[in-house]
Amino acid sequence: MEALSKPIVIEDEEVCLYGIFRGVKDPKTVIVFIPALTGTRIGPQRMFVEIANHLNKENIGSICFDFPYAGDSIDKTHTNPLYLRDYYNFHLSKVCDFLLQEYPRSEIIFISISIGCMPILEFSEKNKLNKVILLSPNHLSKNKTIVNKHNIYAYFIKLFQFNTWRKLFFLKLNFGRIVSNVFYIKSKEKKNRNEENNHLITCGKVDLLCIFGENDPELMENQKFWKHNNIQGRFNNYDEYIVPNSDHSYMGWNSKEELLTKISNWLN
Amino acid sequence: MREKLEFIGLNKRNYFIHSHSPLQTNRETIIFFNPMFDEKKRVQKFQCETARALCRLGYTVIRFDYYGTGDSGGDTFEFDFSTVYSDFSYLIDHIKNTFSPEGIILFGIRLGADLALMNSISEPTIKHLILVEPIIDGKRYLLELRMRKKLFYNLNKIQSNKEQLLIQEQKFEDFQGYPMSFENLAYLEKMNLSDSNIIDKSVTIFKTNSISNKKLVVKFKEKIEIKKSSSVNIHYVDCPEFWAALESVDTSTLTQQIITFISNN
Repeated sequence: MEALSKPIVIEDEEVCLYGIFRGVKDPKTVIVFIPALTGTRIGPQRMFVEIANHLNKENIGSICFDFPYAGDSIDKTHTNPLYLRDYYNFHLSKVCDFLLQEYPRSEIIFISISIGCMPILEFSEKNKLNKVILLSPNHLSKNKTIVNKHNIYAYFIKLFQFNTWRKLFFLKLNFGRIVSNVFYIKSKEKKNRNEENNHLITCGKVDLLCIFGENDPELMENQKFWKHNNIQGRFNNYDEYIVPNSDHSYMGWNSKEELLTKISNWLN
Repeated sequence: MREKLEFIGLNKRNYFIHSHSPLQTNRETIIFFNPMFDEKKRVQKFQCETARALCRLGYTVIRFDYYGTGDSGGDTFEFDFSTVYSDFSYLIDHIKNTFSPEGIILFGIRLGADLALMNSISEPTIKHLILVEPIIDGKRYLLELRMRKKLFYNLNKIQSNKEQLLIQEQKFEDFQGYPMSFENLAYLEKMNLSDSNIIDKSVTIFKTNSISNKKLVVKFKEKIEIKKSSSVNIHYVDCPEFWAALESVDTSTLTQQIITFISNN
C-alpha cells in the first residue's frame, strides 16, 4: 500500500484547524501530533514529519496539527492561550470529534512535546484513549498557567543577546517582571508542589511513554513529577527513556534518530 | 478569502502548497520563499499573518515548502539548493495555469530572500521582489550558524555530538537536526547577493533592527545600483524582537509596513 499525504481542515463557526494526514487508507493506528504552545505542525527540526514518515513505513497513519497561537490555524473565539488547559481542551475536542468521525475503527494515540503534554494526557484519559506519548513533558500548576520555566537559565541566555543590552541601554528592561519571574514563581512553585503532584487527573488507564533529553535543564524536576505520579498508580503502564546528549527539543540529528527508534519500538 | 492546502507533484517530487485566494483578485500573485532551519518555525506566524493581510488587499498568495523541508515530501537530508532552482520553473508553470496572474512578485525571508532573488534571474517576467532580512554573505551566515551551534551545545553541556554525519553513505554536517550535504555547504560558502547579476528588477528590502548586518545590506544596494541594471530600496523597520527573541513575538509592525508599502505601490 502506498502512503498518501493529504491536508485536513476542521472548520466550524469557532475554529479552522489545519493538519496533514500521512499514511494509508483506513489505518489501524493514527498518531496525532499536537504542538507545544509556540510550536508548529512540523515540530522542532521537522521532527513530527520525520516520525510520521517513518511510522508510515510500518503502516501507522499520522496527523500533524497546528494550533492558532503559533501556526496557520484560526481560532475565531480567541481562546486565551495562557489558560493552557482550556486552550488545549477546546482545540483537542475539535480534533477528537473529527477523528471519531473520520477514523472510527482506528486506535488514536496523541503525542505532544513540552507544555502540550499534560493537556493531551488528561484529554486522552477523559476520552478513553489508552496510549499517550510525551516528549520532554512539563507539568502545569493548579492555576492552569506555566510554572516550571527555569527563568534564571533563560535570563542567562538572554545575557548573550544584543537585544538585551540594547533594551538595558534604552532603559526598556522590565525589572519588575524579571524579579517576579525569578523569585515569585519559584517560591510559589515550592509551596504548591504537593498540590501539583496530586493535580494530575488520571486514574490508571493510560499506557504512557515519556521521553526526556539528558541535558534538559528541567529534566530532574519533570522526571520527579512523572515518576511520583507513576508510583501513585495514575498510569496503567509507564515507560521512561532518556535520550543521551540531548536537550529539551532533542536538537541534533542523532537525538532525533534515537527518539524515532524508541517511539517505533514502543508502538510495536 | 479562501485558503487551500494541497500536495502537488512537481518534477516528480511531492510539494506542499498553501494558497490564499482573495474574493476579488487584483490578478497579482505573491510567492513566499521560506527561510531555512529553525528560522522557518520562527517566521511561521509572521508569514501567515502577512499572507492573510496581503490577500485582503486582493493579492493571491502562494506559500510552499522546498522539497525536504516543512510539509513537502522528501527526507530532511534530501534538501538541495539545486532542486529549489530546478523545480521553480515547474512551480511557476503550475501557478500560471491555476491562477493566471498578470504579475508575479517574489517575497523571501532570510535565506528564502536569497533563493527568491536567484530564482528571479531566470524568470524575466518577475519584476518585483520583496526581501525581508536577506542574507547578503553566505560565508558569514554559515559562520554564524556554526557559532550558534557551538554556543548552544556549550550552554546545554552537550558533549560528543558528531559534527559530521554519514547518511546513506553520504557525508553531512549537522546543523542542530538539519543535515546539510557538502554540496549545499559549498553553495552557501560561495553565495553572495552582491555578486548576483539581476537585470531589470525592482528590489525592496525590509531590514529590522534585530540583526546587525546593516552595512552589508547598504553595500549590496550600492553594488547593484552601480551596475544600473536594477533598483534597490531599503526600508528600516523598528521591530527589534523579530529575530532576537527566542519564541513567538509580535511582528505586526513589520507586517504593517510591508502592507503600507505594497498598497502605496
